[in-house]
Amino acid sequence: MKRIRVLLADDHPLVLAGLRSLLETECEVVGVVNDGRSLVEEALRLKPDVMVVDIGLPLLNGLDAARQVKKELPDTRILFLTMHDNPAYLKDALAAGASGYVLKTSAREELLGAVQDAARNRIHVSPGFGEQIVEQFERHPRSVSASHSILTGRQREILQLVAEGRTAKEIADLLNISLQTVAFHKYQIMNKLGLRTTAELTKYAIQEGLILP
Amino acid sequence: MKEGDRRIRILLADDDLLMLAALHELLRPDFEIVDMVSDGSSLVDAAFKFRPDLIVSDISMPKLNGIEAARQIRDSLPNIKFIFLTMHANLAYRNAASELGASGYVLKSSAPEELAQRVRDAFTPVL
Repeated sequence: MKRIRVLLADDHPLVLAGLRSLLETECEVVGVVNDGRSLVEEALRLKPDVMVVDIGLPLLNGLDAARQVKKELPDTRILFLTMHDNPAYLKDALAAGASGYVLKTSAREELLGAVQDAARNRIHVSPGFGEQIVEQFERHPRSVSASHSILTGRQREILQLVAEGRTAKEIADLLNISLQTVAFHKYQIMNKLGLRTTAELTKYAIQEGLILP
Repeated sequence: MKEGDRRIRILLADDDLLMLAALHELLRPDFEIVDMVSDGSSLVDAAFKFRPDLIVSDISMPKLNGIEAARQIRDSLPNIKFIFLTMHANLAYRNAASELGASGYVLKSSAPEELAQRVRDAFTPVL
């Protein structure tokens, strides 16, 4: 039987190394990355069967990275790994096309089982959420967080980078766009959200779960 | 104890079970893992039962946090060494750990080699 090819993303190197050796007992880990932008690049290059992704990644959070990958590679399965047992995150994860949502408090066997399920296109959610959230989601898949209906994908990316404290120059370099374009996006985000300062934008990004407090 | 005579015996504690399994995989090739626990009071019990050379423990754990568990163990088993593992750089934790005479304080954002190195350092005699 062919081993499942996994791409792994977590921003804590010690955790990443541990998860890698844990997954390697049953899968082929084709790559490991520390941030959301590298996750998108490596996913497009390596075309893994399953991506195991921490939600709180720097530069581009796991959910938005997953959305970008899903657009290009709809068959890649995504399994989120998180410390949050907040149902709002679970809904967002399912809306981003997730095949699974595993809490870091889960046992090793659960993670390995969830990877198998994902590869077979079955949804796995850690016990404790109850089936009702998954069922609710299947009935009303559009109940996602507010910023999705207001901001474009690009604007959410820029909002996260601003909230991480990056300068306009750093953002321009990262996204390969001009300084003026960054300023224009930031102006549009503030306008749409009715916010006036970078501090207010940061607070909003935390509320929306784009970055961790 | 001299390294090389026998493998260093380690007890692991973290309430995050995936992290625990991950630590086990990381340390297993070089050290003997005697047990794994996920709360502070089980850590105290396991320390008395297995008398490990060293304990690698998360700080925030249910029932009894890692620092408090270490205090209780230290009182009766002063030879056990401790390395604390934590998600966040927190000065109060770091101070509490060094007051206890911990051999190390390692962030989960550290490089994986750092943890194994700290374990070895704990048993390297100071000349």
